[in-house]
Amino acid sequence: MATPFKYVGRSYPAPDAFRKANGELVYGSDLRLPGMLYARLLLSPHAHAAVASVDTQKALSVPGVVGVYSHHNAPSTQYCRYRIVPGQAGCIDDETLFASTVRFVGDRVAAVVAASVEAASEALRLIEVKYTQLPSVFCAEAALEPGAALVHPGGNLVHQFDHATSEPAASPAGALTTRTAVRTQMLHHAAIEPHTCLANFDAAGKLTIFSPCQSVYGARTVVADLLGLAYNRVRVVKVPMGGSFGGKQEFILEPVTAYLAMQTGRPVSLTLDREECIRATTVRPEQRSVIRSAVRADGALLYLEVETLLAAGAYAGSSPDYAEAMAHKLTRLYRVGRYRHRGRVAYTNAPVAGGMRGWGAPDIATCAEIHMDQIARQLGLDPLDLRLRNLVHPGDIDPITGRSVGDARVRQCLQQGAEAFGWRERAAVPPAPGRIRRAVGLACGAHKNGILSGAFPDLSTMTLKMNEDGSLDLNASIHEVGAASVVTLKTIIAEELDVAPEMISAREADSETSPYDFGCFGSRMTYVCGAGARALAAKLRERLIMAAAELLQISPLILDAADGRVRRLGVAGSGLAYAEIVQDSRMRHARDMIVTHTYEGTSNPGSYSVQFAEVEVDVLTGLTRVTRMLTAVDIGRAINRGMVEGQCRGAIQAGIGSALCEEVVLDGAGRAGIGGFKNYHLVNAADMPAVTVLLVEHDGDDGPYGAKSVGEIATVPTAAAIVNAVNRALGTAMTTLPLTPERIVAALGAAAEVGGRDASCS
Amino acid sequence: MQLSTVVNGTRVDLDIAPDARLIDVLRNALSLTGTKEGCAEGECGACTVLIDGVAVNACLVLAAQVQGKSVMTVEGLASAGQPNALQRKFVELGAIQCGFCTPGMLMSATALLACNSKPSHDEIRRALAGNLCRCTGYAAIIEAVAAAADAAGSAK
Amino acid sequence: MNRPELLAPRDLAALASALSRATPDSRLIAGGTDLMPRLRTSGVRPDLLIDLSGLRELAFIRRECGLVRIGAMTTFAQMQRDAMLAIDANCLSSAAAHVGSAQIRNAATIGGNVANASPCADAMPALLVLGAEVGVLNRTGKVQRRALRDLLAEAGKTTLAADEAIVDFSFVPLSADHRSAFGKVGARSSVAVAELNAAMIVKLDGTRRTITQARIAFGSIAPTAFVDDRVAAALSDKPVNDATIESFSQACSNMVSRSIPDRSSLPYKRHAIRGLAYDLWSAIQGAPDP
Repeated sequence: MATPFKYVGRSYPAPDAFRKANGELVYGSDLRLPGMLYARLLLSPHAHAAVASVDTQKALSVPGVVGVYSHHNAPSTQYCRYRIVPGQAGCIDDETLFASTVRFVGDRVAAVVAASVEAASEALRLIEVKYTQLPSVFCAEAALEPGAALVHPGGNLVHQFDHATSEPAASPAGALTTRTAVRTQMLHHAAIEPHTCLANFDAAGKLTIFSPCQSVYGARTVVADLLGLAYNRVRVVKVPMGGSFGGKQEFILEPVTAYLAMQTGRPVSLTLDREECIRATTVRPEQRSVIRSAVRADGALLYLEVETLLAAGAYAGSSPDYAEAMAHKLTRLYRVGRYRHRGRVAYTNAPVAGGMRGWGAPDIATCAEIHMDQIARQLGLDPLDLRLRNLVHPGDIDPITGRSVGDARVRQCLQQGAEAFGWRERAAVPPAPGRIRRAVGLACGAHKNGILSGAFPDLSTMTLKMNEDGSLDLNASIHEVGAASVVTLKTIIAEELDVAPEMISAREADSETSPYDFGCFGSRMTYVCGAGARALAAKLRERLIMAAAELLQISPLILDAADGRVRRLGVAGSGLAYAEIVQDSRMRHARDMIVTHTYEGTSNPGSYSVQFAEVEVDVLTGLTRVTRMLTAVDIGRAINRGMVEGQCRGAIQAGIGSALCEEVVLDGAGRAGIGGFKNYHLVNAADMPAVTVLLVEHDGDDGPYGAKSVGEIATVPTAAAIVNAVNRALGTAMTTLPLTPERIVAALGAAAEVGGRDASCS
Repeated sequence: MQLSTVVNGTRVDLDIAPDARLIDVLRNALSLTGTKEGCAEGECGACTVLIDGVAVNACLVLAAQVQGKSVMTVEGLASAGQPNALQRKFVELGAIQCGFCTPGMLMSATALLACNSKPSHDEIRRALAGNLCRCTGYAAIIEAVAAAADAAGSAK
Repeated sequence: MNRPELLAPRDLAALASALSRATPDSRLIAGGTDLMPRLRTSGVRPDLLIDLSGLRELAFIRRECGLVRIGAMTTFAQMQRDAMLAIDANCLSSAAAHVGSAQIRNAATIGGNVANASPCADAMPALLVLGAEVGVLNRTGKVQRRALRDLLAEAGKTTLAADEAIVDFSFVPLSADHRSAFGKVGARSSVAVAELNAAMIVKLDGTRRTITQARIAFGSIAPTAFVDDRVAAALSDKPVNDATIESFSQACSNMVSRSIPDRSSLPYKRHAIRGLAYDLWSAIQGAPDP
């Protein structure tokens, strides 16, 4: 575990690890408040219908039921579940607390609040709703055809864009043109903790929301605006979260739970079951992209043109931004002569799409990397060499944003990863005939560090104070999603101030007491908030030195802070301990060792990963086993090494699932998530392959101690590496994910018909 | 109905509904919220508890069925507030990220180690196949169980 | 809110008495792995729940009178661990090991698996191929013996009346020269509902080079599991060689085409079953010789 630092680069347990291990840590659905009531939602069984009537009489007569709410007695103000700041561009207010027209199977029709979950469930069964069914449309392509059923009155086109770099398309003689159409599927985030929210509206008119969310200030904006409350009368507390992966980024339960609390004047707890989580929170959107390119004979990309069609589901949510995000990835990854990306986002009568780990980067990388392998096949090039021909170099300018990709070490990831994996040797061996076909595949991916773009600044305010004994309290709006962000920030501050991390306390976000931060998304935690924490600690360090200079009556220029002391340069044991400075400076000079800093991010470099997969495909059952994976990640610097590796491994579990077995399937009536985890399969411990993690730490960007993001980039190229391996194993060109046994058997059948690989056993 | 059972070594007498689930009795009547509900259908394993030493999904157990039996939850692993070796290995070896699957993992691992003191990595994987994790990719969890087995072995 | 009445009989006499109170709205609960989720979601409101978990006398695996007898409350974990069962009925022992996860196997019972009558029930093909008889207790306290196939009528429902309960299964243990195996194809390699499952018994001649008899049952295809004689004929009196196994796998495929011509899963299942056929044969070759 080589690290040039004292604290940064070591491995630390997750925050509250012992409390997690003994069952003591209280998650959202573990919270109990006096007088607390339980809510359950009545969700639409129809994909599109007008709610003609909601008869709650029988439901209200169930003992223990306190109230039943629907669009008849709730406000019909429209809001956007994705909004963080007031006036945010790209937010479409098209959702209401309860639908008067239901737009997907899972849309909220009503809510029951009762003394127990059981009473609420009983009452739910007794609500009588009359629906007038309307025509529905389930796929984006059909939704944009003339005469398609309208999901919303204003039309089904939610958003469209056309981004291009300035170079004209070049296609000289001898260029090879290729076209690939890829479809990535709806996915469920599958955090093991279901969605939950607790809200309380007290007699003084103060609303408190306890939520495992990714932005307390965002939740406040949406709820306060919807319910007409002043922002300082809405307090949002981030409670421990059992995973999110983007599923808890948007404000799905907070508005309705807050409304129910206001109506009843009692604390109201709402927890969804697994089927409800799959169909009625958010899904990763289904999208189809067509990629066209031209390459020179040596494989250099002349142009890359993409057309994306993305299904937003019944409400717009984050889908416009999600589609846009897809258009801002490939030019961070490859040098291309010209890039054009056209996108359309359509409403469908399907589950609402939302952000999922990687936020479009895995989706577009899957498309691009399947495409690149196709090019390689046609040119007779090793896929590795084709990548080397085109991957960006450090300092390249991304022509779409005009920003530098920063210290992009993706080439190093590719080369070091390939060597560690034994790519050349393994790739040279053609899959042996027989029932089990083995092959390897690789893929590259790019992501970002923070939300800095034209429209959005990236800033974070934090406060740090030192106590009389030298211990510290960090006050920042931290949102733990499971990646130990609290530990990352503590480690950075520890390194800057040269104190043990145990000396630092930090709590998670509370909109009432912790200063402003946009939230945990966009891969900004380490790169932006971490840098902010470092700057903050440096400010405190400076203040300690100045205070010590004043106490000692000497120039600060000959003072240095290290090892918990401010001492005279070169004079061991001199100076004052931090604790002494805090006490003496306060009592003698009325100075306080507390600093506040608003950090503004000024760069947004790329994060990169290259992944290698070895697969075995059973050509009879169609089952694929991933037998080995290697992930090389350009992470800049690992702050918490063990956690970085853990994130990389978890990311691969999700990527394998998205490649092979995870899919939110809509039946003919538009229903999703039937059977919960029985039908939605996650990779379990028995199926998880051996994974090698290779961290490339070149620390050349502005992140704290050179660190870059890891949580999202780690899952970007996984699915593509596996799909490429399977296609190599079988000689197929599958482009529809996931590669279920049924799809593989069908593709083998098709391949056999066109004289492809023999699908039999011999 | 009257339920009389032992939970984490303590005798418990409760009045419960005849069709109550064990997970609800534990979490609500006994305020033992360490046992988590992830799916309510026995697929995720987050609610794993031990009944007479045997690992089962508490969301699938009729509470009435533990009449006269002994139930152990994650809250019963530590003694006198001190984490046991398995819990310590989970913490030390990075087997815990968000922590939601952790109680179920610990209970499945406890059941495994009670009847197989030197499990191979494959045996650990199979024993934990009914405990889903979305954060860690399982490797650190397998290592932690193996390390706890080693520690117990060398302590003998 | 109407709560069900709960009865928890501790012996067969008490069970018979409880059964006499049962109506079509009553439910028996064994391990709970199938019933408990259904109670929560499907709005099933039983008037009476008969909890079988106190019937310790029904959790056993024994040899008596030349038969293997397994109590209905025996869990799959117990069956998986039983050394005698692994030899006397390897296909059933193997099926038990393939049910769900460790937690599920610790709770789910063979009686519950059969009574729940899922088309994909893992114990069913093995019990069929073993020619299992089912001991059915009714309100009078008498135990009737019925062939298992007489209990199977439709997906999700046996022919048991409301006041009947399975108490045991019995079959003749496999003798020397017999080998048996279980195979399953799921959506993932472990903890999965079967897309296809099957159990097979073959009898080999003294040289072990000829299959003299074969018997095979399939699940997850028709609404109930079934024994298929035509597929078995592809193995009977055939030499143990690659050509035999290839024609066996083809016979399995033809069986699928015959059985589910209009099902959307036909193209997949008729292909994948060939893999199951080969897996069964590998398992047979590795199976213990009683």
